[in-house]
Amino acid sequence: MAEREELEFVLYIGTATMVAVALGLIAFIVFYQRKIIAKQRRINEIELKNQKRLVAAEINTKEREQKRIAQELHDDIGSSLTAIRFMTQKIDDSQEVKKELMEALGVAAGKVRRISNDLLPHVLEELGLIDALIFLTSELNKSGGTSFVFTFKKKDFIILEKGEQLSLYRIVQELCNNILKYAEAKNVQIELKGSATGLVLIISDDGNGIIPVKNERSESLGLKNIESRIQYIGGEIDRSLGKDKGTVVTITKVY
Amino acid sequence: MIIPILIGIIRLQRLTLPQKLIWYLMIYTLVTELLSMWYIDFYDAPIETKNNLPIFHSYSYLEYGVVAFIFYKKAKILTWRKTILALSIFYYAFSIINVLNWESIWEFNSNQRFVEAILIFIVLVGFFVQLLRNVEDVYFERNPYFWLSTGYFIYFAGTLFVFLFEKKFTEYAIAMPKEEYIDYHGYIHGVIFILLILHYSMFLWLKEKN
Repeated sequence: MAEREELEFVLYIGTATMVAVALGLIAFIVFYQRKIIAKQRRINEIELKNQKRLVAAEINTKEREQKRIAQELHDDIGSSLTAIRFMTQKIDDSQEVKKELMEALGVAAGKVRRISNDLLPHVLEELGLIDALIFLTSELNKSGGTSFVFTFKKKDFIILEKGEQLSLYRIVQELCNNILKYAEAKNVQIELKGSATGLVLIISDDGNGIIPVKNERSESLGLKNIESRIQYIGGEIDRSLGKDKGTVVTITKVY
Repeated sequence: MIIPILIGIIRLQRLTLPQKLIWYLMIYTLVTELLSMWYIDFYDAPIETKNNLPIFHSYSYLEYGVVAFIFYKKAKILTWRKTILALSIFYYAFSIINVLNWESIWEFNSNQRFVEAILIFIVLVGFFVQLLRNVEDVYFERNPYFWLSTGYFIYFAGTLFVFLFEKKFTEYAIAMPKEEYIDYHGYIHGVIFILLILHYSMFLWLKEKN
């Protein structure tokens, strides 16, 4: 009887110990894994921050360079061309040659202005994002075929740094160019809503529904630019098909 | 045991091969349990000479085979797969030697169960290491294999001493009148087995991630 009780005691203690060890080991595995995951997440966050910093630096460098080129084109070449234009007016030669020369110089000066404006939107620099987008849509409407309408309610407001404004402007510019190139759309709506908590930019068209944005993993430089600029402003981009046809691209940014 | 079998029936079309194997094992367990009870009730022979232990022997072989096969399939490192294979060969070789020399099929297979528990511990620890190395698997509780492995881990840890002393307790049971004997170690096994059943249920319920 005593032997049996002794054996039972060993059985209880042994079983309890083994179960405790097993549960302890399982708990250790679960907590250790959670710890590893948390560490991995921290590393990922640091990497993402570094990546953002790199993208920002890349965009800033690019914009600075574009600004420099634009200023040189505008101030240097542009003014030289204008000077030449005035000088040719004084040449006492055949009126036909003079006229051709004047026209050629006019076209060249116009091109320089356009390139300069593409590189650095002066309206954006001077008047801000809303006016720049109004100007952009009016310029796009000149291309004909597709009608661009920009809406921004007076009660709305946006809080963006200069660099972020430029990035958003470039995104709209790129998306609109894509619509013109691929979507075969007749109407394009650009709607910007802003509040103290964030902003939403919706670009919708009635085209064929094939405006490439992200996720298509395209090698296109324009699309890569959109992605890096979205990352730079800390926003999100989403593309969906329109109710009837076309595409709706939504860009959101939470402050 | 009915719960995991029912879960298996509900999810039969979506069960993966390892889940199906566990489901079949559950059905086999239920059948052997019923068969054992029937055997005890209908054959009133002395326990030393005639018992239902051959059924339990067959269950042990099958159980080890299923567990080893599932975790062999889950092993991602070739060396570890080979190790599981080697352990399985060792287990079956030992089982044959054990039956022929020490514990016949009419005796309780304490040695074999003990070796089985140790070998399965090794297989499961290997699986846990693999789980920890995979940082993509954020939520263990959503992984069916986590439930299966922890279920077996607790079961074999909890029943190690139960099976080790089984023969001794059987001797006490035979020596005492049936009414006076309280089968404590049987209760311990019952509680731990219920835990394993719950883990089986989770294993069968959860969807395997691709």
